[in-house]
Amino acid sequence: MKAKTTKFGEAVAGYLFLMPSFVGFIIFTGFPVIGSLLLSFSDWNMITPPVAVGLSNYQKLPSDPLLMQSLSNTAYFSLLSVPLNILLALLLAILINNKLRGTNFLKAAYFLPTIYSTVAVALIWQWIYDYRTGLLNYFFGLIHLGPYPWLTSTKLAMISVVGVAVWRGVGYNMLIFLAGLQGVSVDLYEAARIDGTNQWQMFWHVTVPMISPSTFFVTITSIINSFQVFDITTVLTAGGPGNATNTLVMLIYQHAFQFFRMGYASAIAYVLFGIVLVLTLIQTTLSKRWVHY
Amino acid sequence: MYRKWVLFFILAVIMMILVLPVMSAASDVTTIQYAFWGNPASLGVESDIIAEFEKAYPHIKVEPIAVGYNDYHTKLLTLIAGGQAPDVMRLDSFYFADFMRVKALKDITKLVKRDHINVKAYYQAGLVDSMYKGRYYGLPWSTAPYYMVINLKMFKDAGIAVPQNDWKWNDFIKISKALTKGKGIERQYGFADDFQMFHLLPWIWGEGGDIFDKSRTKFTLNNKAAVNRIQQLADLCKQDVFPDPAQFPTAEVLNRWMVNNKVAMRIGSALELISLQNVKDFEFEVLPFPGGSVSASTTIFKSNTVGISASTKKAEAAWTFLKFLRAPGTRGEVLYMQARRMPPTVDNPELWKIFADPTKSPRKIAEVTQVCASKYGHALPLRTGWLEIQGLLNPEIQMVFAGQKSASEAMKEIAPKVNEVMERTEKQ
Repeated sequence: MKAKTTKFGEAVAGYLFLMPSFVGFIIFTGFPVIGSLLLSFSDWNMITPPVAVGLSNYQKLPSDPLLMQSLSNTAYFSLLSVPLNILLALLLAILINNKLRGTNFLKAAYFLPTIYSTVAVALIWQWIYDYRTGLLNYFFGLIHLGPYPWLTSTKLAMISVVGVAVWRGVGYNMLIFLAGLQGVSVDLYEAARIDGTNQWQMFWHVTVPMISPSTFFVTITSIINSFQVFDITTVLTAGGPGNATNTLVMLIYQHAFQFFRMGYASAIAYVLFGIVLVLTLIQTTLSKRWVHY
Repeated sequence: MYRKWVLFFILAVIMMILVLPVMSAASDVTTIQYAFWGNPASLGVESDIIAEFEKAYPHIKVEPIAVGYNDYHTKLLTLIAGGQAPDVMRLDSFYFADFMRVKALKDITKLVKRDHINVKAYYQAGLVDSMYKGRYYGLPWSTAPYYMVINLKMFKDAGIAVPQNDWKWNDFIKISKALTKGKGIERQYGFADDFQMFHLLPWIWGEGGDIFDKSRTKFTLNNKAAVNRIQQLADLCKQDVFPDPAQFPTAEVLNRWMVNNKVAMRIGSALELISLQNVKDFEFEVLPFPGGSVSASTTIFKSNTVGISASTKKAEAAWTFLKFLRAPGTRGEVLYMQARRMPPTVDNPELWKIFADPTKSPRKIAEVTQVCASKYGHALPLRTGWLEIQGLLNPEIQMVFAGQKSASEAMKEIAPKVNEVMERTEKQ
């Protein structure tokens, strides 16, 4: 009887501890999520009451060329930035994990861009990418190349945005990988060495499987973040030139807060939600094959 | 124990005696909220105005809601949507028609007439931006042209005289070409702009074209006059007479080029002039826009507005504050002038004397503003859905200037989409 009471007390205490976070989640995430789903079936300009329009907002989506372009821009951004970010982060983590001199300094240096304000980062890179006075073209000029229109060419603009996003995000992922690498037991490497494996085989057959939970986490969060890209493109290129860097979240923002079409913006937001959900489900299913806990 | 209770009772009575008059005085004070945008430098003048107003009207307290421009209208919309609309609010004219469409502002025509507000004193070219369907919904704030800004050093170095106010397109092209020289990183340009949609309009007005017809219900940028002029400007970029507009993602970049003597002429709002004035030793002048072959009224004359929320329950207090802030001949305008926050909204030489510093660039600002208001000014044909239309047109225009489409193709392609927005926003 006493044990039962204690268990009940612990459960109550547990729920009470969870309560602040849970209430916050319900108010600031749960209600808006349901609210925007309802709004996606309405026409609402934020001032006059919403008018129900059924599936009309969703029916308009396939014929919206700007949506299609923003979707393809976002996918392009994801395809470029996610693998690049993960590979670079892993490489840096491996280098730092070698316990060479100055690794603490390098760790801080690589992580620093993550904590900078995105707006400040974008403004600094705007200077670096400047066609005439930018550092990047100056360095290319020294080897008689360029100048290149980093932010002003429809072909180069998204690549330039990816460059900034990777530079900013790589430090965070590097720390996750580093934590994963430091969790790999030395015994495994010793056993592999006794079995006569070389460095590459050791990396491929010991390190990679052992850090697979970190890789899975980094992949999932990077893909979700890449589909939410907004701040860097807004400040760096404002979606231009000619919509070349306009992303899905930018489009949602434009429709909601510039064009007063909250219903249509909510419908696009649910498309984005659907895409991210499907990608996450695919990854979670596939993860059973390659993630080793 | 009994003594303790007596003491407590006496103390409670004393507290009541002290607090009640304060509470009753507080209930006599009407508190209103005033929303405006601004950077930290501009907040001082708003505080000064509020302080002076509260001194003159002790029964009204003004609570400021200050937000940076980029987030301002979103925040305002959110406040209105949440049933917490500020009693008095400033609106950029780009948003005015859309806010009117959703009935955000109160019709103040009766109040204007009742209190004999001298609306004729305002620059009339700016007053229209506070009117909707012939009624007043606000009083003008920051009425000013989009000037042609001239880099005096570059003109002087090239031995070119600053043009007269009545200059024309051909003069402009001749000067632009003469001032464009050098190669690679050293190249300087006679004129530069980001060529966003509304910056193109002055050039199109000069040729008799416009974005909409007179009733603002039909898209007309696909007409011959407009298409030809857009193509001409794009060709000048292609020939490198003007720099590629995509190089100016923000106004700051263009400012940087200009103060570094890489650009001799640019379009500049009154606010941008203030930024340029802060650059040490940078000498510049302002001019109206060059006239075209059909019209000389080519300078954008734009005004923002300050209005009263349609849902306010304190309309009289809000109106008293609005009058103090914006009515001609009141303290608000004088304080704005003393802070040099914006040029006068009314055509009053005394105010210009306070605003314009004759020792500082641009020295001709009073004269140019007056001629723009009377002769060369042209109001933007703002309407509902303006920002959405601008959002559709800007990327198309960027493609034209990048040489990926001709102006004719771009305008033909975009016309049905613009018409759809016009139709939808007209209906709502």
